[in-house]
Amino acid sequence: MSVIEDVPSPAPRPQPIPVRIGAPRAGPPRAVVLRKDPWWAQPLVTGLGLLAFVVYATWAAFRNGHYFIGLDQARNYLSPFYSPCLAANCPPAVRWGPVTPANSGFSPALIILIFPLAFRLTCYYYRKTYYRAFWLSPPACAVADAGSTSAKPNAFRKRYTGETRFPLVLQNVHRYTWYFTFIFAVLLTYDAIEAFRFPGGIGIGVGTLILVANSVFIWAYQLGCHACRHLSGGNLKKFSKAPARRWIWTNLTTPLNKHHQLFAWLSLMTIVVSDLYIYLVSSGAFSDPRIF
Amino acid sequence: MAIDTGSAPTTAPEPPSGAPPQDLVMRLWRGDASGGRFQEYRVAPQEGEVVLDVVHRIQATQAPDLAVRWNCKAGKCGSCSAEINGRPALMCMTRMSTLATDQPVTVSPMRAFPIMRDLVTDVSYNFEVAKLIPAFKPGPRDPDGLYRMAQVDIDRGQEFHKCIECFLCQNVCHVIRDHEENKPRYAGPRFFVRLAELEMHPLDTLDRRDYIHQDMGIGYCNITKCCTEVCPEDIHITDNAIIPLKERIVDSHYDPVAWLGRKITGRPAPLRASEARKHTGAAHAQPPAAATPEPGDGA
Amino acid sequence: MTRHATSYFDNEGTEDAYAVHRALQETMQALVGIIRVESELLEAKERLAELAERASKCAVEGNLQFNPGWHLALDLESMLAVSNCTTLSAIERRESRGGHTRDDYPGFRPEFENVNMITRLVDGEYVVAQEPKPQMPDELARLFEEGAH
Repeated sequence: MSVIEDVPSPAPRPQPIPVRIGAPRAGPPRAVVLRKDPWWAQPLVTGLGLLAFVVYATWAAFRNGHYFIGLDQARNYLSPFYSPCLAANCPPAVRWGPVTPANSGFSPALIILIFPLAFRLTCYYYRKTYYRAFWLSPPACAVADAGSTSAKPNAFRKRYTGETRFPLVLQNVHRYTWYFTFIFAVLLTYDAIEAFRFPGGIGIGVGTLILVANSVFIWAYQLGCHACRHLSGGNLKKFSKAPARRWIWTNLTTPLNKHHQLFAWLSLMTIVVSDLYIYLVSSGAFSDPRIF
Repeated sequence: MAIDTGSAPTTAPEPPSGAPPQDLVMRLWRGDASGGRFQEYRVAPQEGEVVLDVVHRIQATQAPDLAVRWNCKAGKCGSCSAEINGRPALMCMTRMSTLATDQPVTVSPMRAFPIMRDLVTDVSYNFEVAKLIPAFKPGPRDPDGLYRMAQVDIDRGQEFHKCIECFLCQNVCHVIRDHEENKPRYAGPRFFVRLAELEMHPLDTLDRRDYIHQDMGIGYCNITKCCTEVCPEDIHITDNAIIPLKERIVDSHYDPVAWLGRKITGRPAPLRASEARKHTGAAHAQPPAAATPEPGDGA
Repeated sequence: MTRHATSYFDNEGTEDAYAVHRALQETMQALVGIIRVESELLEAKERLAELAERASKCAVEGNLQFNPGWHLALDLESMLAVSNCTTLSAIERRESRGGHTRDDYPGFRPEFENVNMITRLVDGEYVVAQEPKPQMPDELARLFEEGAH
């Protein structure tokens, strides 16, 4: 399956690897889990973490309120879930557009959330996490894929085809989601800078620090992306012919990529913390302490 | 062939103080194609041993016909791959002190491969894949008859050269471990490392992308990273070999902008798999008569 | 040949190949080691005969498939042959040369300079004999001369 026409389609039948299958396998049946360490802990924890985010993000996206603290409240904080704010019902101070009809009541978050969502859904790190935690394919190393050991495979697991077929073949759009979220990373940096705006000048509140941390981690995640690493220099055949790209690959994208998992979680957390903080301050649960 | 070249003492040295050490309880897989089971052996522990030492001691004292494949005892030959307490690892590089020895330690053969006997498996699948890797194809030499490579380009591939072909990554990869019907269409992590090494080689001129996509089945990999977790040479198989290959295949097969770029600049289209196939061992050999036709389609 | 190899499975013996192997290692390590003396070498010769006797009585468990105990029993024959060659040649070479150090005969002896020690199996007995070294080909000899200055 390919979308490009200079590759033959339909593809000629691949030549099979001549291997005899079905011979008695070594060791106890695969259904027997021999691992003695708590192998289930990692998929459980990461799965719960992702679920918690989904639940929070759903609530935050449909909330359609308390996502902006304007200068009338002596601050200038915009929740990352609502940036850029494109709907007609966005506060005028942060409205771009609008692209939706006036008084539609449509939550501005729902217009834009698809982009970061698609970026993270197709991210190589998140793919590992949810294939393990939700698909159980595999739940952990040397623990059998769900359904693969039963004599009667269930309807959804007739055959494992990995990412070769629709819909999972769409994971290959990852670099395009990166292009879009690059714009978002720029906008979130703009929001972080805007968060220094206080009535009558520049100030720093706890919210400012949270939004700055958020934009830093978003960039660390954005630039450590595997597709970004490939495009920044990984696709070169000869590093020696492109010293500038090699420098970027060696000193920026590869070091960040090594910690892609860390930044994936940190940025996910700062997005939630930013939004929750702004919601709580905006709804009057407490007021944002000014540091400077 | 198991020859203990070490000059280990025949009896366990007593610990300097305290109670005598508790016997190790080892559960080793014994069996062949007709079936098998775990057999329990009790041996006295010795200071500083690895799992292979204990297996050898059981062999020398209690189970002379215990089959185990090994060579270098130094983590460099890749022969003694097994599953220790269910985790794929080299027996010679797993210290007994890292295992909980207050309970039995299980040692089983690699479960992705057919059994030969006891801890020994038939890993010939891997050698069949190896024959199908399109070979290195250098371009023309420099005018003085030499080939030249820049040091930075050489350094890049060094990580891939560390592979010792223990096949632990092939064993742990669920694409073939849990779905054996994929073996005829999936090369496995070790060979993605090899293919990445060739694709990143500064002198190589062959474009293997369509071949990796079609015949080597890289799309089956769902990057769950178990190959990287078990690699005894710490090769970052997923991050540095498989994902870069997947991204190269996005370039050749899934990126319309890259396609447009090729059309505009006149750069060649990706080499078809059928052309790359001519550079494999299969192109020079008769197809084996016993080869099973591709199974499982539409099952 | 095959019959001989498989005869270990019918062996009535009680010897354990791994024990014989360890004894062989310990013998060679202790008596035919780095520094050698005639008395120890002669003792090694006697012990090797005993070990050969034990090795022939190895009992093998299991079947023909990937059986390390059986392979070791077969390998012991070759290991004993090599051990015998080493020991007999070491007795015969009454000088110290290269890696061969005789405590009782320090230094080179001219009479051994141009001979090799060749061990043969004659009627089931290992017999060592001195034989002249093959002549160095001219082109190699020339290289030595060139290297001299």
